[in-house]
Amino acid sequence: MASFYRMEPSTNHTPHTNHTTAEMPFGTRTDLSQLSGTTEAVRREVSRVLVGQHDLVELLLVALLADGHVLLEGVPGVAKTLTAKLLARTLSVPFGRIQFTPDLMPSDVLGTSVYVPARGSFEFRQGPIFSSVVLIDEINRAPAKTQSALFEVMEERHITHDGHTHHLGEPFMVLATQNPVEQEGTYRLPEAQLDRFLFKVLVPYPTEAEEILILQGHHAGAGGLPLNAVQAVVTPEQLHALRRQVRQQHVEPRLFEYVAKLVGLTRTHKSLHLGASPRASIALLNGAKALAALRGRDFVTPEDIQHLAAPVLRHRIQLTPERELEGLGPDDVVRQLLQQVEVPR
Amino acid sequence: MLPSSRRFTYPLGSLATGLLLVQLAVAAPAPVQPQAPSPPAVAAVQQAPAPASVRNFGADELQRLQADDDLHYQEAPPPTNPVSRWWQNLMRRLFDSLPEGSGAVVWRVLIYGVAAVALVLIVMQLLNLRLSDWLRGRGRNIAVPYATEADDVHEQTLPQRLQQAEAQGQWRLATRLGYLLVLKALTDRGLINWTPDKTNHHYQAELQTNAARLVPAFASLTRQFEYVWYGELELEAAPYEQVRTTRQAFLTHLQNRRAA
Repeated sequence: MASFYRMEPSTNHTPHTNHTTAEMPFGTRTDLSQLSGTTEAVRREVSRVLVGQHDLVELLLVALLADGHVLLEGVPGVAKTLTAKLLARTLSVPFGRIQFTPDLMPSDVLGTSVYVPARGSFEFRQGPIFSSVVLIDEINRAPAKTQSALFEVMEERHITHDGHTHHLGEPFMVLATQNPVEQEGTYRLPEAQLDRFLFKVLVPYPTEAEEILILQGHHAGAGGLPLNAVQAVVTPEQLHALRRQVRQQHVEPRLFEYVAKLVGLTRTHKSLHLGASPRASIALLNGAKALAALRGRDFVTPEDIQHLAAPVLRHRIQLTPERELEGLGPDDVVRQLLQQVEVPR
Repeated sequence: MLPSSRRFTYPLGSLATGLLLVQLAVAAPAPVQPQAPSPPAVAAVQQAPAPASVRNFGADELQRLQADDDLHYQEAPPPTNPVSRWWQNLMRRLFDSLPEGSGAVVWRVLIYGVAAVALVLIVMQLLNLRLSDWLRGRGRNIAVPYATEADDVHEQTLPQRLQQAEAQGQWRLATRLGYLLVLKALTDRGLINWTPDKTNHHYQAELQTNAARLVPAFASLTRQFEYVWYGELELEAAPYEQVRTTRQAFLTHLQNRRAA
């Protein structure tokens, strides 16, 4: 099925410059050619099926390089699931999918012990979470009991069952989709779980031009390219190397202060009754490092931090009821925060 | 067919009408008889004259009556200002609707109390104080002030500090100060609007709107600055010369543009 979508603009959307090696003013210091080549290949494969949505794909690539989980939110039918499946297909790693339903049990996700008569003992049967890329579809349709089963595995990359710890392999990435909580039959995710997502990306409706392209593709190809036309272009070893490179990005010391001030302000802002945790600061820093690498730089700029502030913070902050009634949204508050902190220069 | 209750209405009605007629006949007035005229009252006064005494009101009583609002019949003209008129009407309606007696005092106290609380809340809102914080004894929220360090482009000593950095061979610092000088020059000419929260790319976007021909040179300067400052690149004298040349060319171009 052909699909589309155009991601919402960033709260601080400015034209960014993709610095290639040739544009480096003082010669090459870090070779980012493998990273740019690999990520370009992923983009190419995804765009074989997906129409538009360049910003969404960029954020997914950033999360992939920063070793983080992503929550995609949008109304039904805007191809959240398809985007997640496409990204997973470009990686040659085991892929698992779990459809969250109101009656789902934690053991349906994590696994359970089964009695084996031949051995006369119990054996742990791994659940679908034991994959490298796990697509959790409609994550907010399961109640809090099932959600809490994900706490340990998302943060520590292992689960504890019957007193035994079962480690997950590398890489491990959760791509979850959800409908807005106002939709019928959905639950609000626990704060502790939301905090474990690196980004929350809002997926809006496509633009008219994109929708026309979708229709044309559908009409011409009876649904467009099948998913299996997308090839895996990244191996786990390659991904591991790219992530190591991202971790070594340069960060000017005052940018740490910038991140800390920005996140710290969420804890005292009068419109918020829940601020962001230190995990948010780390997420913002890691994301900025990955974004800088994706844009061809071996150092972070304030621009990278501002660009990712909304996807990192919007699901980690909670507005006071009065502000919510006034129609203020998390992105509005993030915009205010960015205006209150001086850009280090 | 009529309901049973109405079937007995007519005999009872006829009986009542009969009784009324009888009562009217009994109570009919008797014919009027002519009476003899009574003697005039003036004659009685003439027979028993009494000295007329002048009654004076006491000064205290007069003062009390003059102070009584209920005895003031001349009303002040309504104010011409519409806001004052609205306020006067509101007050009159509010207090006229109060019950009389001792309840009125309670209502007045209640109204003044509500007004006082509203005033306090408005003042707290203006001072950015939250009632819950105030009750719990917490301080007010104060926005983090901008750090007014050397990165304020309006700082007057930027050229001197740049010269000093160049003289001391601090090429990285000199690159930074030189870039701030460029931002100052652009701000002074109204080509960008400098605020502390904007990134270099915001300024590039502003320049695209205000002076698109300057964008490539500014982008080059920005790249140099970002690689040296954010990229923590330790420059030598020769690469710095490249930075200095680019900057000087840009500033000269900016000056010539102004002259033209």
